[in-house]
Amino acid sequence: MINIMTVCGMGLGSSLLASMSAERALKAAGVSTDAFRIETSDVGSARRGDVDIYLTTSEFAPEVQEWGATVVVIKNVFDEKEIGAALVPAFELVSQSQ
Amino acid sequence: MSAATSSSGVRDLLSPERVRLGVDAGDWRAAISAVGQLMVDTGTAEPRYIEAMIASCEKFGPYIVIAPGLALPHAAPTDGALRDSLALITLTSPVEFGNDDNDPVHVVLALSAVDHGAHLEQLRTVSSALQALSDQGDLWLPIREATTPQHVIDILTYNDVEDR
Repeated sequence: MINIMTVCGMGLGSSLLASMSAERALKAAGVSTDAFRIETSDVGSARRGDVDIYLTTSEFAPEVQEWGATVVVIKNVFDEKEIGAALVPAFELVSQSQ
Repeated sequence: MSAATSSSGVRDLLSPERVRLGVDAGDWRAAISAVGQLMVDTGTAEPRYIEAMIASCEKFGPYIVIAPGLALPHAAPTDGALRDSLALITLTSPVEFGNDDNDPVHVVLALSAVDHGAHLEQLRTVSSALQALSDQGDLWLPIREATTPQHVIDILTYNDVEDR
């Protein structure tokens, strides 16, 4: 099980939309829904030891990158192709290391 | 939940009186004020919610420009959100928010949420409509070309109608 967390300022707008696109992108890549879990959070409470991949935008990336987990940075929260192109390779790398 | 129920949910969140087409806004603060005023006027947010949306953008940077041409300003439930709601304006002249990837902004969609859960299904419906527009390559163009508030709402609930 890979834990993915989408991070934004409040944890209820863009991170929620990004989580929906991320789920679609992983499904489109043939990843089983049993293989991952996606949560959303605000940047103030997102730092947690059990998160494998953080998905966020460039504004939050510098902070999130200090937490040690894999960080995927996206530009357009609706662009399933962009998110898939960045997230799927990261997902496969993390899966292999577990 | 049936598609019809979830559609009425979105229509409750984004009613025609919270949609205004062709707003003149000199800068991003004016754009957020204009869309936030629609919430205040319809009783879904307190006036301080507008200031909180602007403050959030100043604090975290222009990440709220979540897709090319589209900004999603919002603040925390405790910042004066009275009801879950969406409000939308289109701008006569696009405005720079300072987001290198997604500026300039043509459409501002503001969100008020009283907690972290209840608005999720409605946002999912809107998200899926915006996703479909994004896949077609023009995220904001159909919304910007809409001639009535109801037309905008129909675009944003398109997938619900399709599912019925």
